[in-house]
Amino acid sequence: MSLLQIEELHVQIGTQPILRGVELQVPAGQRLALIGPNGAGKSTLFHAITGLAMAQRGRISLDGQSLLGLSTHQIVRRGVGRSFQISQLFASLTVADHLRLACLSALGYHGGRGSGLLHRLTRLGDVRERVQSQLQALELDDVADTPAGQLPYARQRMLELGLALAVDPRLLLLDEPTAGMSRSETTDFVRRIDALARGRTLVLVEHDMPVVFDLADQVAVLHEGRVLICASAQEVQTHEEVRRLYLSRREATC
Amino acid sequence: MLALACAALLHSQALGLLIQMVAAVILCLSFWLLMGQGGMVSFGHAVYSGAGAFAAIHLMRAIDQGLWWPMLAVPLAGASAAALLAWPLGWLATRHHSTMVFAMITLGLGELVGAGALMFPSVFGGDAGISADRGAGLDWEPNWARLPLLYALALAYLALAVLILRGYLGTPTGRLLQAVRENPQRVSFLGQDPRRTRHISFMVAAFLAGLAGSLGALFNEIVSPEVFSGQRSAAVLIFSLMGGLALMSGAVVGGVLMVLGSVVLPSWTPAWLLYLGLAFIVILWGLPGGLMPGLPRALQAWRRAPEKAAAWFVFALGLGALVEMTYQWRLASIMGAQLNYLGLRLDTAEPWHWLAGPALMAGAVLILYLRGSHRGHA
Repeated sequence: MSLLQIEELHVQIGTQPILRGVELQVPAGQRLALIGPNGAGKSTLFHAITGLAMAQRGRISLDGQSLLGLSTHQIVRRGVGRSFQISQLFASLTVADHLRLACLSALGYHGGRGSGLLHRLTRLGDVRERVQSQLQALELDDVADTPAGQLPYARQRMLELGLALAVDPRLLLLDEPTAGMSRSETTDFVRRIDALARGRTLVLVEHDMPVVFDLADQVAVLHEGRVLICASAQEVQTHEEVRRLYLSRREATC
Repeated sequence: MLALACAALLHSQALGLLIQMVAAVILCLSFWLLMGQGGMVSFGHAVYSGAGAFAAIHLMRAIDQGLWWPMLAVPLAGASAAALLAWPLGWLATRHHSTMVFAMITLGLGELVGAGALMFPSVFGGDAGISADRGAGLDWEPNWARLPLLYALALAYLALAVLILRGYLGTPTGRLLQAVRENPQRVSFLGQDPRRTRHISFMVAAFLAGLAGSLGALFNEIVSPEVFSGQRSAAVLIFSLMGGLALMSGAVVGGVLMVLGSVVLPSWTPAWLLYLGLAFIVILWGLPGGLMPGLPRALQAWRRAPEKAAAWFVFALGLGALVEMTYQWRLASIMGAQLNYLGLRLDTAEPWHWLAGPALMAGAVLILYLRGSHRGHA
């Protein structure tokens, strides 16, 4: 069975229907890229999966369990991690504090209940170990005590990715991870995502076609609130309607 | 501060002020956690200090009637009662992420509790309030009626409050609170419930407010429904803002100012409320972040331009003279026509005395203007 299963999903924002019957199956271990023109509903789909947008109709389930009606933190605890197109970091908190707070959930500390409330965050042994290994994996150990607001852009993106990974998700949703990066930074970053996301199911929204073809083994094209085609990267590249709608225009601007 | 404390040990009135200051500092520390760290702007924080005060005064009466509970532990019970009340009320207030919704719900709850307290005079004592005797502690306890001992007890509770605050902010939930203030939605993407974080923090803040209220009850030995009033809630907000919310030291400054402004100043002048309002506007206008860390920086700036600071000082003196004479003139039928302004005898019946204030103000403005235009030419 698929890890993520979306059926007949309708979402409207205000009075505007954005998603009109999205059907999508993502088997465990697959890496899927969502592409489509601006306003096709890619971010809205992420919002719907993570509980930020309400579905009017349809079903979203993770490993057979419905995610509809759950709040964001409950969905995250069931194994969904998400990064944002525009980094959403806590400007005054240090890099290490970000990772400490982010890994609490994966270690079973849930705000008060259970153990951990009466301990100092920095003294929790399992938290410390985990943060140390994550700092190394993200190559952020030299800036562990720097406030996130003072990091250079590419490293903020890395921390953003780290926050999504720290909750130890089964399903990792990345919203334009390389947005705003230079070509060389992007190449480097894609290699890092490839290594860090190993063993996880990945859904990726991306405009940068080389990134899509490097990372994804399956591509879904979203157009006017529906999935136009979901196929392997090669097939999508040669699909006539997709070329007409999307790829050709992209290539023309590149 | 140390010299003041030493002198106060010999003077009961000053000692009373110091005890009230310690309680006010604890109250401002509680508000600092809520607003400074959690970004929750409460318009009804007096509910929790008031709940602590009433729990304390009832417990003190029960102790007097033979209940076994040490008088020195009364604030712990009062604080726990306030935290307990904050469980349902804080749950209501922290449901929404919006600062405005939080502020309005706390305002509404404050009005509700204030009005409710007046409806049950048997519990809250009506206008007369409820009184008790803090000297009626257990056999082995010292006599808390002696102010130096009560002052020492209050200081011990201040130390406890600081320890609780520091400890709490170091826990996972305490650290999450700062993250929630900056971006609650992002916190939920870390698998943590931002509402739960705010709710728990609200209860910790209520505990500290209850501690402050209980110390007030121990000192005053009387509590009336006035402790729930909107004015009390506003005072916490105003003096916390004046002290500054960025640093813990701001809460200390705010607490000291609260007692100076609402206890000492009214005994000096009938125009105290006007001066408080002016001070609030001037401080927030000149130092939007509050006196901590604004004041040290302002002092440095004044040292570089002493004539400017002097001119503002003279302006304030002149304004004060004018305000005092106006109040005296309005109340002349009760208080007479003459007043003593900083050692100077002013008479509201003498027309030329009225010129003193405006003359000082005009002089100060002239100096500031000349200084400004001089710089403009240079």
